[in-house]
Amino acid sequence: MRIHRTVRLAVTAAAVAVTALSMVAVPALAGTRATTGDRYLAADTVLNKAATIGGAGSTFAAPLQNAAQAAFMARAQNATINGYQAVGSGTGESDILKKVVDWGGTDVPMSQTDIYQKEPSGYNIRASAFLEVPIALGGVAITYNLAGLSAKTPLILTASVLANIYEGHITNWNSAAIQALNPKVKLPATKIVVAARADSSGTTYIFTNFLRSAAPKVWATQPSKAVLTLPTGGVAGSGNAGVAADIENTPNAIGYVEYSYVLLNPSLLKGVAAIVNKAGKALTPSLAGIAAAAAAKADITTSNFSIDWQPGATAYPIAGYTWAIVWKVNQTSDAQGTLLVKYLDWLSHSGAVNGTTAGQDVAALQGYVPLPANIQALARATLLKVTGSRGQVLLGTNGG
Amino acid sequence: MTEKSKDFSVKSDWAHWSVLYGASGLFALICAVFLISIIVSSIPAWSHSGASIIYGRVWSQSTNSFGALAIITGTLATTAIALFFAIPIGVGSAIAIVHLLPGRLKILLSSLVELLAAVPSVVYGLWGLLVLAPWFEKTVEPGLAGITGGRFPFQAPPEGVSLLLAGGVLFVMILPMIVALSRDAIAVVPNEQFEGALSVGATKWQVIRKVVLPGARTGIVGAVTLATARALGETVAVAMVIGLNPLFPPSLFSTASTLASTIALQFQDATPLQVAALGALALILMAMTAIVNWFGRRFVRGSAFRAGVI
Repeated sequence: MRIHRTVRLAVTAAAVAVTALSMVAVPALAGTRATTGDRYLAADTVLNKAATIGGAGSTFAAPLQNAAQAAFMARAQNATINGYQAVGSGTGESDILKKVVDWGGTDVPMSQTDIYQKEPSGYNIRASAFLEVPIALGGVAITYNLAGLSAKTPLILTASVLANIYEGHITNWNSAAIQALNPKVKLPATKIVVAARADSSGTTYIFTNFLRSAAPKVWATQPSKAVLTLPTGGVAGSGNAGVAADIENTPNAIGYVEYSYVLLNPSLLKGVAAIVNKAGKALTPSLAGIAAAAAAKADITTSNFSIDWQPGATAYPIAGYTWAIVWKVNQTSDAQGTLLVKYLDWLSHSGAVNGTTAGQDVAALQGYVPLPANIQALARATLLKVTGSRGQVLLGTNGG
Repeated sequence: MTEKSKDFSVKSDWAHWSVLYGASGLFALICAVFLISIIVSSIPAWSHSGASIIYGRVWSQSTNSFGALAIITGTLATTAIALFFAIPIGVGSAIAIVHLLPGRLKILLSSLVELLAAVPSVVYGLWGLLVLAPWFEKTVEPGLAGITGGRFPFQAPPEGVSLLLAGGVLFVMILPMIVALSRDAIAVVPNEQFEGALSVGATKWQVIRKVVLPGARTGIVGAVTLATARALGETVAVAMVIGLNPLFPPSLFSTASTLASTIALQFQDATPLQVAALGALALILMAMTAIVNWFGRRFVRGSAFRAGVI
């Protein structure tokens, strides 16, 4: 939807400005945790041949992609990266299958079932033809638009209450279940307007996976990227930006958006719920809470990737990684393939090289948690499997 | 005229005709290809769900249920709301522009109409979402509920983003179309008839009612038909203000969905079966537009018959 592109453009412009300003200050800070001697990272911004690439998909990753692409192009001569199209994880997967883009963004690694559903008829594409590179770590915030509630005392909600709201069993804000969790808050006697995604979405997957893990008795369906069936009166928006706009414009609404959209959209900060985690503690989303969730499950794979509902008193319960899907055997020219793996390598790492910062330092400024060291290593190992026209590894030190 | 020049004129005539036949033939071909490809692409959905696509009540991607009754209802309801306001206000403004307003005001209003007609629909949607939605939610919808005592279809909590708002935005979008086309139809009613009727002692209002409106009827019906088709098919603006919830709206203040906005939002990442189901929605939308056109034509022919033209 075009409006949200406009909104996104404005958000992007703001994000780029913030990043540019911070770039001046950050190198000194980043220098303290420089991964010295990372020859790949040092070579990532050096390209011998001019090339152009582009990606599309997850809106969860869009604020990062928008800021990081600008930062990368400023450092790497010869590199052109077309504006990231935030069209949702599902479309990101369709687009990489159809080779419309060089990488597809998704919050859920693409399964063979996804491919069967989406591939053009007559094709028989295997999931093993693709590689999934973790590029960011973020959380999903539950935000609400309720007049008269102070931002300082966030509503406390549980997975069970959220599942009941999304199933349409709890319909009013002053229902006993919500009141019991928030005894001191005077809740309005209005109907709850449930907001969700209108497009196939990885954020929906992370959210429904949380409901399924934490409240399996209420949320009977398997986690899925698919459009949710909302209760009567529910509002659906296109992309995280669309849901954010719907919540902002609809009194009594509640919905789920990626945490960085809340940071970019200060009016949503008025109502960010504290969610009860596995240890029974109610937490509002924070970078520390998301990092704790990731730390609780350090080893992830493309088939066991969820970090929802992790143990630990400080772990925020709705979190996840977002991934870039690339073809294992590069489908474009070697110059484009080299740019692609170098950009994704730069994007998935932190550390100062030649006095500048890498992608995960940009991520920290956009409301994401920098990828843990072992996940950065996973990204590197994955990218080293991408091969070019002669079977050569594209991620090299020679500048391609 | 010489033999030669006659020959030339016949030849050029032949050339003209072949171009015209070619153009109309091409047009017919494009339409046929378009229609056939939509029908073919929707076949898997019809064989999966049968006619329940039309009367089914559940539209869900995850369970492969494709029943569009609620979406069809949303489409018809938003269009009906828009026409309910746009016809009287649009035709009234057209009469005023042609026969009542002084010259300068006439030009000003006419250019305003043309300006509004040129605004892209995404701008109407943005305006609806950012300006109208809060106003509807705080003032219009509670007001309507207050006046009617919250009876159907004005019950349920005001939401802003709603069926009523989508109808309201559509009303503003089709209004310039109705004004501009009706104005042109009214303006071509011969001045002699107008002045003749005045000269036999009819009042201006009587002349407008008995002479101008019947004379311009064909054009006005044409304007309404076109506006209805636009309202049925409007995509972006409606998608932004209706809430995109494919459920039966219990009240005008509730969210809903329309055929065109569902197609636009779900097409990009649809499973093959869902693509077919969206093709079926496109077919339903085309059928609805065809019915509107058929009624428009029937009405025009009927009125022309009564007026003794045919």
